[in-house]
Amino acid sequence: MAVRRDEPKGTEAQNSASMPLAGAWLGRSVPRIGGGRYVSGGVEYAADLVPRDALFLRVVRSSLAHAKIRSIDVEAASRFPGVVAVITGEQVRQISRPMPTRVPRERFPGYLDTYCLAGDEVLYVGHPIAAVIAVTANDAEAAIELVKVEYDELPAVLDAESGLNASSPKARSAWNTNLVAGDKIRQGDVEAAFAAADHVVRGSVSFAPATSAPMEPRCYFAEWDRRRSKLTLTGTMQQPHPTRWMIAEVMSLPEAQVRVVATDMGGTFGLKMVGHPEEALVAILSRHLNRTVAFVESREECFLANAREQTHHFELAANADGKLMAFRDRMVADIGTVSAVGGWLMAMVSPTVIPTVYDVPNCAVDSFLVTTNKPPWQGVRGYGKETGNLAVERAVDLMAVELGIDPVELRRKNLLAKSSFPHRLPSGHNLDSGDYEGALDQLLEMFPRARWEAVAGNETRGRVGVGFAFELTPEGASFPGSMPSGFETSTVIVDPTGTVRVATSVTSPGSGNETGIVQLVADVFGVHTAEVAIAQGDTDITPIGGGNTSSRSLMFGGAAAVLAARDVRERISTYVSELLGVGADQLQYVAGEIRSGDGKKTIPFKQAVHTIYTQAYSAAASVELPLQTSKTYRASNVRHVPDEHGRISSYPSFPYSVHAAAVEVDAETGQVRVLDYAAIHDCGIVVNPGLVEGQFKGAIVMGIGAALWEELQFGQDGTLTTNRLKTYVLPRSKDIPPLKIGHRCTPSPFHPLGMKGAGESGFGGAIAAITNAVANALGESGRSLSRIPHRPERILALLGGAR
Amino acid sequence: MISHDFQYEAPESFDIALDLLSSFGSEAAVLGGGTWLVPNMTYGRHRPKVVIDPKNLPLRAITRSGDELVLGSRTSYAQVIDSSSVADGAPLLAKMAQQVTGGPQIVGQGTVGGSACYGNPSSDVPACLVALGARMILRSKDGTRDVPASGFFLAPFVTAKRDDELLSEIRFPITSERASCAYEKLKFSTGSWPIVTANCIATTSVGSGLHLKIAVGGANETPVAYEVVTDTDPSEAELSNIAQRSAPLIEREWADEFAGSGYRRSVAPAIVRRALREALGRDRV
Repeated sequence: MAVRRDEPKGTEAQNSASMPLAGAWLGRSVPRIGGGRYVSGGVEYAADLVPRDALFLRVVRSSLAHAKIRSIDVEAASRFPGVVAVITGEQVRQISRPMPTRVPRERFPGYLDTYCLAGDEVLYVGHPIAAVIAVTANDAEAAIELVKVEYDELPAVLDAESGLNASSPKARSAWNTNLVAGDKIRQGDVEAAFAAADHVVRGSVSFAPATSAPMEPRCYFAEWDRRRSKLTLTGTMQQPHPTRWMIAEVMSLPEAQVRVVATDMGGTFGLKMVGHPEEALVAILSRHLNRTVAFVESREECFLANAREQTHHFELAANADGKLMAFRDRMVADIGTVSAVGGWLMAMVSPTVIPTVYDVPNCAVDSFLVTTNKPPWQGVRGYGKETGNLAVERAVDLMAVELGIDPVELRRKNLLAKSSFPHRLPSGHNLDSGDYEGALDQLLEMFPRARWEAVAGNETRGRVGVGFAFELTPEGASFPGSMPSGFETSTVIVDPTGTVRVATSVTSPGSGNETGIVQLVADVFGVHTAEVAIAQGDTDITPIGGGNTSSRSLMFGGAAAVLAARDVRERISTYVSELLGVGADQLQYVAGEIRSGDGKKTIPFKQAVHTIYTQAYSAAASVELPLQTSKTYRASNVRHVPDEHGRISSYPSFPYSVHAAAVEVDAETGQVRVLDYAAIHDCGIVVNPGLVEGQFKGAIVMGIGAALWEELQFGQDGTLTTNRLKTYVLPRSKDIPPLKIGHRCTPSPFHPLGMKGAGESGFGGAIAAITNAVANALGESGRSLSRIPHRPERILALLGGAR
Repeated sequence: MISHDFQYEAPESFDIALDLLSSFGSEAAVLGGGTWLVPNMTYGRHRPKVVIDPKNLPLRAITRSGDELVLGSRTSYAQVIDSSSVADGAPLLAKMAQQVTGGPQIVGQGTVGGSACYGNPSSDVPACLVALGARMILRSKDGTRDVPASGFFLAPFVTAKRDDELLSEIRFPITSERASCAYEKLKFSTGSWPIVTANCIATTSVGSGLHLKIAVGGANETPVAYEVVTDTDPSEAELSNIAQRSAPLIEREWADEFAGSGYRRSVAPAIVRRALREALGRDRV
């Protein structure tokens, strides 16, 4: 894998001044810490750690999409062998407070009930109504059907577009509208630009609801310590500090009496963010029953995590020579039920990426977020960026067809120039840096386009198509009003033996970010990575921050660790400088030694540390003790004060990627097979190329799955029908060709290490490249391709139309 | 998790097993490989009072008996794949087993008889048994019945096996040495169900042309099968015509989360044609 480092003028000096980039570990594919445990079955997941004496909680869920609860009869269930308690929404209201929402409550159109069990109204099939707690999970599960719920059914809203009509029934009785939120983004004179344009193309794309489906479903267990009045909540939580805050609010406890411990995770992709009712339920009921209470999510329940369903109607205007002039998009998202979780915010992010990597002077985007009686959205990789990217990429391809211009050349002609950064998007995002054309050239070197296009000309039962797509991936979300609003904190300690400890607020979803952070800290002290230990996920040990979201772990948590480590290093240098008679800024930390610039004077790192701890009143009298510092990293490219257009910018970092795919559409069955795939990824300075590439490949595979197979389907009554891995089909290794990956490095001038987020990138580009390739294979009828995923039956219908 | 209590029995003799089946009837479930029964019990979709595990009964043998291949009903896909008797006597069965979706767990656990008794329209097994002209041997306290596979699959998840009967073996006529066969399957991704399967056995006899036996699975609620006699070297157009005859047989089309109504019927001829071409040794196009 080749990394091309191409530093824009001006940033090189800035970067090297703030951080030496020539460290021993930076840029090396150090094997992932604990990787062997993950692949050899040695990891203890949350469900493996549930204490033997724990009670198990199972959830009674609504069988109707929308109804008033008339009565709940728990009598029979309570008497079932093994059952310890059956708790309803009414009881929960007596022993806890509402779960706090991810955004301030005044942003909703009316009262939002966020208790962890439904009150008198159920809002989707699967809505938690009551909790059964029993000695075994089986007993609890068996007792669930003995809980008799009587409903008065209400009309359900199961379609967003019709839900927008004033006459539509309301998905939530307390609100007089189904419109939860929306955005109106404007730049330039869109009307005039469309009127004056030589060419206009129109299209639409709709996304089926989809989900994250990690290997490991959710699991929590809560242990109430009555003597200390302290609750410990352990489990699958990618945001332990926000969860501690949530639990503290729900249980009316100070944070000091709540400890949240996140366990090793088998994937999350956004699912395990804060705010699930069961997180609060086990905690509340552990105190209420004075017992340990555990919840292990079933695979069926895991599929209740809804996301992504939305439709875009877009128009693109261009001049005769192919210069893009204006883009217009109307987006309607079906965000399901609004709850304490923040997944629905993904639909607020979608329009903000427009018009992505292209220079389009006039833009208008209107978005409408509609609540319906489907399950709440949960975070999922892509976080809404994939849909805005795809709308733009489809429009560009449609314009290429319209103009008869090569889609690659049309893109090249309209890419933002490398010299045009920082660049403000219509949404207010301030793009940090990019070399889009360079990436495109690099992609074309790697992808055998001519070969596939030659095959495409052959008359066979398979129609071969080639598709290209860019993806702009805003990362490092730092929303105003959210808890916390986007900073991360790391503590670095150099212990008396000279080994190093890091405790950071960011957590690992299983991606290996702890390895990258260890590399960064090892470089600051010039020690081996084996000398650096890292703690994540335990709120009693780690400092406050958001956790693992929005590809922030290295960019924020890593940067904070470097800032803290440098502070500790300065303290050590105070002593060594006096000892060696060398200026502190001349000291180098290399290979376990601290050296003068000319290398003539040295002291072992460990010896210096030992002396500092043991000679605090003499040799090290001027050193601040202990060798321990916490630092927070706050991104410099986030702006919460509205600009002159009234827009804020909650994303500091803009990695991008460009993708090429060759697919074969079976003309007789409509089945799509991916033949070839290549992509170039640029996330600025890379700490661990192997881990970044692993994340990028994973994102591409997830994107191919979303493009071709993954779809949550709901019946007419709002019941999810695709709740098994047999009906919600994920890609397997045989479905994916070898992925050719290239990297580019355009450092961010706004980040102290030049980094951008990595982890989500690749997902949206893959959906778009596959979609454009399928459309290309379909020829003329490909213009009508408008539904993700590309089900064979729809493709067959398009093929029939073309005959 | 399986949330209901049930009785587990592993009878040591057919008599005991058949007594249990007789007394529990529809409230008994017979465990094959468990790849269907256990998930369905886990999801609460099937709640038998008693699970009868025939592991102690001699039901796993593959034997040649005269001009028949006899498969114990608990024979796993892995056994079928490894068996030289199957390769010689019913090669289509081996080809089908090699394409069963799932890793070593499913191939090692899943049984041909279990799949047949489950009667899932989306399974590989039923149409293959019909194509092979298999006979299902059903034992009960009342005696033994011998039901042709073509009459065994009655409706989705419904077979001719009575609640008091146990499928003991499946008997196959030995496939002629002059025959060639093909198993073609449409599925949308590695992890997906079969959407449409086509089984073809092509036999050339001197003087009487080419005899084609075709069975289509997945497309209809139950397998559909037909036989055709044609020239020894049929043209592509003739093959297409033969394949096209599958569509009108799909009278009760199967539809699920992967494809709605109309899809399977419209693609079935293409899958049949591919099976025919493969059986005739023609190149894939």
